Amino acid sequence: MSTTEVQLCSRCKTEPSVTVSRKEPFCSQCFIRFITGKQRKAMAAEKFKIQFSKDPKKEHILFPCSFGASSLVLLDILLCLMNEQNSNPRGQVGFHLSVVYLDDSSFEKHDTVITDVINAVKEKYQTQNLPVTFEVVDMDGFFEDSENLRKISVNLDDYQTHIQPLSQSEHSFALSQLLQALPNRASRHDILQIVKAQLIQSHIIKSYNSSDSDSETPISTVLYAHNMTTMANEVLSLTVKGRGAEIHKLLTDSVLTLPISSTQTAQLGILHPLKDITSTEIQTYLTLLSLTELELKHKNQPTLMNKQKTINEIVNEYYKDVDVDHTGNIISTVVSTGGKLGDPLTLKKNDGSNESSTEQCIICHTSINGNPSPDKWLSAISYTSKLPPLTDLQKQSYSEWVESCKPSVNEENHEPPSQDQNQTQAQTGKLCYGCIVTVGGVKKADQDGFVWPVVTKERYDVDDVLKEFSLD
Amino acid sequence: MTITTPSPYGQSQAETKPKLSQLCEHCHSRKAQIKRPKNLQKICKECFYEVFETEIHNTITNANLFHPGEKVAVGASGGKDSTVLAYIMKLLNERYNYGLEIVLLSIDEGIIGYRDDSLATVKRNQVQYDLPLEIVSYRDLYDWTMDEIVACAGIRNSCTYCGVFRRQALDRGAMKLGISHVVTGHNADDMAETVLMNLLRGDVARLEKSTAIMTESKGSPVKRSKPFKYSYQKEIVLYAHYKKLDYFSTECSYAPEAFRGTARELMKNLEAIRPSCILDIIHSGENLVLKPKKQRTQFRKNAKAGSKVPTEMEVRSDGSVSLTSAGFVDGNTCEKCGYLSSNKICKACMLLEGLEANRAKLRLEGDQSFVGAAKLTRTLENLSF
Repeated sequence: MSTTEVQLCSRCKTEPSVTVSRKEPFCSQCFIRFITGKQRKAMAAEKFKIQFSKDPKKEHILFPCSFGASSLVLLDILLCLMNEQNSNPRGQVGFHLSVVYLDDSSFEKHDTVITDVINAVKEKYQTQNLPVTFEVVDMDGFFEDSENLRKISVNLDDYQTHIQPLSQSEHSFALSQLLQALPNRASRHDILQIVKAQLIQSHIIKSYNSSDSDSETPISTVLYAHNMTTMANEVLSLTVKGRGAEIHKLLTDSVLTLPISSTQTAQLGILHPLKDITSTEIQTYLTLLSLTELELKHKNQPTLMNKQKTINEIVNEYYKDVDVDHTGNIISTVVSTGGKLGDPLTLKKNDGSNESSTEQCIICHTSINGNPSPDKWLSAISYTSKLPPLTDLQKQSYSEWVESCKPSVNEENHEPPSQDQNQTQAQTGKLCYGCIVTVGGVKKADQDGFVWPVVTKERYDVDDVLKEFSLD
Repeated sequence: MTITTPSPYGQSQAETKPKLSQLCEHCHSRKAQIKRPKNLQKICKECFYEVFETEIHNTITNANLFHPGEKVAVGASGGKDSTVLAYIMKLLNERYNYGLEIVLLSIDEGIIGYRDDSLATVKRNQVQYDLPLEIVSYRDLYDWTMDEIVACAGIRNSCTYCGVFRRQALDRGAMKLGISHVVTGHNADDMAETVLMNLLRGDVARLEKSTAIMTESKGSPVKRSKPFKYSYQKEIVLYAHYKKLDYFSTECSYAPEAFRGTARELMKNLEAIRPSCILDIIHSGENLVLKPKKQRTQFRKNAKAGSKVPTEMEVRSDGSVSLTSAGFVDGNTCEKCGYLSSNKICKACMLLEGLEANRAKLRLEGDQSFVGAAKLTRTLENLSF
């Protein structure tokens, strides 16, 4: 008997296996079914199923899609499911899908053009018959609302946040300008992640404000295509960035309360259908269905030195190095450990501390842990020496330094203090720990500094008052 | 292996006026000589000492680590961390009047060629800092030395044995001296590594407590604290170097913990991008909180109504027995030796039992064959051609 006999698929036991996953041989069909099953399980709720009533209210799902490997797998699963539903005699589909791509072409180079990729997808899945919309959102639009733009800086002596209005000449600002001000790729990546999250959030809010009369219901579910490897990467990367308190938010499929305005909130379901799938399985899926051609390809980057890498890239390399036997044990352990974490803000309240905070970070909008607050935590463990000059030579050096500072001090901050300071005082805000680290890394010498749209409470209130009481 | 001796580097030279760009970023009057690992600020030696010492003092006072009149044992191995700790503790105690009585406490694991040399350093420190010293040996406590343990159980598990025994030995040494507080030289790097390792290993039981500055338990009269919790390892090295402290800088010759090594490498790469990452990880670690466990209701066939005594008991593969289903109870002690334990029998007693079962019944008089890798390394180092 030959030992090179083709192994049969362990699921159907009829077809020859084409891949081995989790020590189990799979044939192509069974493997695809296995991966597809993850999405079906995540979206098993009744609301995603076809409703045969006369006036069905379709669930509106938002899928932020990068057209990378994981995104393509989820997109394939969703569009196939919709086509399958559409083929029923009444031709109805259970949900409406909005695919949103955040366009970073102004600062990131791609080999393929996004519109070509979208057109190819539309053609392949015959989406003209399906309730699917594709939208490309320009990431530079993040700085559109120039009224809210503020310069944010962190004083590294006491870690207090300073917010200043932009000068008249700086009223337009582009994302690429902000990225240039950041010290390295790692910080740029952090900020881009925050920008992406907030663009998605404002897209959702827009759907609530615009769909009053439309038949289309506002977005109620968001799907993320994170796979197990990306999740494990995020758990460790967030820890390294000092954002450990946010891990639970990323890993749990939960219902999020999103403030639409100061009076209105929306309940938003967050799902990660591919969180149990490893990146190897994602690649196998793409190869089996020959979907790799659809992938949005980034321009080949030259090999980077360690110092040029992002935190996520270094963590990724670490996982590859540690996972010598390709079992992915460490990755799944990290994901399951991350899944056991909860919200420190609500859980730590029980430990006798009565100081709680409802303040939000003005950059990433996460709730700030007030016990102790990040600025107090940092000031408590750092100290700036104030040793006086002793010898004559030292005194001379010191006075020379004071002299050298004078003109720049006058030019930059001290000359027109009255107006600026008043405005600064009017607008206060706090940063979370992770953002203090990122903004603190921006050198003051840079001309642009850290510019961010800061939404103040007052502005919301004025809008609401006008909306409620002014007559058209 | 090197034993640090005072170096001429850094000694006071004839002062020359530095350029403006070379001035210390704190005092702006002296020439910057150190790039601070924590934030890459360029500062002078005097400001570095001031900053390093005051930050440790602030850590101690903010966490209320000590009370006046307290007797404190400094876990001293002769390495850089514990040497700097002993030096700093004495310095701060005198400068800020903590009112502490400081004793050096060393553990002799019985590793010939490694620990005997480092203990010689501790003995020198004892004289230099004028502090009392107590040495507790594995031989006295357990009737085993690490060399014998490695000969018996192999080099692979050496850190498991050594770690478990050392934790107990420190407590026992402190109790012998009537001291209820041991300070150790664990630094920020160690702490950040531990946070990452607990995440990578899925060690949920330790995850929440991994960044605690002080650990104490109802079952043990001895509490532990880490005044270097926020001090970077590189700064400790710099401090020891510029202050010309006498320390022993060789790693233990038995297998270093492989997994911790990978975490250390990861941190090194991350630190190159973001020097603050060590503190960032500690901040994250302080905010990792577990969700409350969901209570599962068990459905058993033929369950005796109203019976509260569990009829089954889990015996683990290593022979240890879980406590009652209530889980971890703070302050539980070992049935055999009375030391703190989360099981009925503590880990040290379990390990000792296994070792005893494998101990050679007969031994040649004057046999030195169990003397391990450390001795061999020493011999090789001394060879000359």
